Amino acid sequence: MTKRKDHTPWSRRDAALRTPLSAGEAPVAEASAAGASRCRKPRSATKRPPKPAASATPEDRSESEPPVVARRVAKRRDTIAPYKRSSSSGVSVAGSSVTLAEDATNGIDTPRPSGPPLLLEGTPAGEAPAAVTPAKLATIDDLRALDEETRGHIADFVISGAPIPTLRRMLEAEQGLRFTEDAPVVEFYQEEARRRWQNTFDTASADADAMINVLRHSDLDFSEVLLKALGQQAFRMITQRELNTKQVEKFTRLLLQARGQDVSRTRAKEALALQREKMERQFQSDLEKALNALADEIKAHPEVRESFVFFRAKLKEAMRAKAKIKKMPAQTPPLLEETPGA
Amino acid sequence: MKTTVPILRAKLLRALKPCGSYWLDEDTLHIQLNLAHPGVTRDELLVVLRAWKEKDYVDFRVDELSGLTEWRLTASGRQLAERSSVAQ
Repeated sequence: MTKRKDHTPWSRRDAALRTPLSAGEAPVAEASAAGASRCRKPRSATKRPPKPAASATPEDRSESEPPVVARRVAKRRDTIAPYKRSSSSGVSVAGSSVTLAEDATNGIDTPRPSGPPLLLEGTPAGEAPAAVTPAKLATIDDLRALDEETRGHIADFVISGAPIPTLRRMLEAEQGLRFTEDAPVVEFYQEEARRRWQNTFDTASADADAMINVLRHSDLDFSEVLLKALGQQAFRMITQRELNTKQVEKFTRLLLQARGQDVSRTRAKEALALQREKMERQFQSDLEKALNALADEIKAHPEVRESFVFFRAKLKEAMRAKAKIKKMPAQTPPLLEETPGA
Repeated sequence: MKTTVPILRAKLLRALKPCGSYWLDEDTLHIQLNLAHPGVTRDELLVVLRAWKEKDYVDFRVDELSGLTEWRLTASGRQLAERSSVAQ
């Protein structure tokens, strides 16, 4: 006897498969096959085992009705698939994982004995099982409870341009804080950014004020304009993280040192100029005394008058030349090296 | 959601107050105001700053070296910031 193919249309078969399977009902596939091949004798009458009893368990039914159950399980698999499906035929729903072994003979997913069943009996298709409890999620308070260094690290991470999902993964990996949404992380970052901003500007203002006060109350004389410009520059550099408190202290110390050296150099120059002026005055008075004595001698000896006139002309030239040298700024006056009689 | 003017004023006072008598450039001020949502556009910021300039709450200058416009609170602006912080 040759086997005949089942020519039942798929739409009709599917409609038959979608009908609920009640206890004691004849297999739907069998019924549809019987309707399609009226002329031949039903195969079930000769080859199939007898119909299951009304009190048969679902497990018994699944063994006795593989095609129907395969369709129904496949349908349920499709409804679960959107929840989560791992690549290794393992299915995890909201924190609990269930592994399935693929049946090579009929394609039925049969649960392993070790794991819980994929679907709880009575769970409507398309809904997550109620028995699965979600894992505890982190809140913004957990982020606020982190230590200062970690909070700064998170803020720097966000400021550097890292996306929030990456930050969430980092928090989960490093801190064990799991977030399902970006909102708490973003809110925390905004709080942290505002706090850091306030701290930075308070620190910058205080440091710049301290630097100005140190300079203002030092013995050295700084002009007020210079102090304001210095303070503004320090404030700007601190807020832009180009300068920290230690560097401000060092900067102030160096500034005072340079200013002190500058002042002492100025004072040394002033003292040298005073000394030079005093020596000039003394030299002039000595010269005047010598000239007066010489004039008295010439009055007493008229024969040396001609020599005296010649000497006075030379002296005038020498004085003019000295005055010219004094006016030239680049040259140092050779007054100290000259002898009074030259 | 758009930032309303009173909220923007409060944000502005909170940003300028810690600077004291030092100048804060406009770019940094704009960045600071946009740290949190909703953001503030440059035009909205300038409208409020100009209105406050007319009321002598803020003062501005253009830095010769950087070429940036810089803002700071005046004495009356600092008093306003003190009053608003006390009210909060």
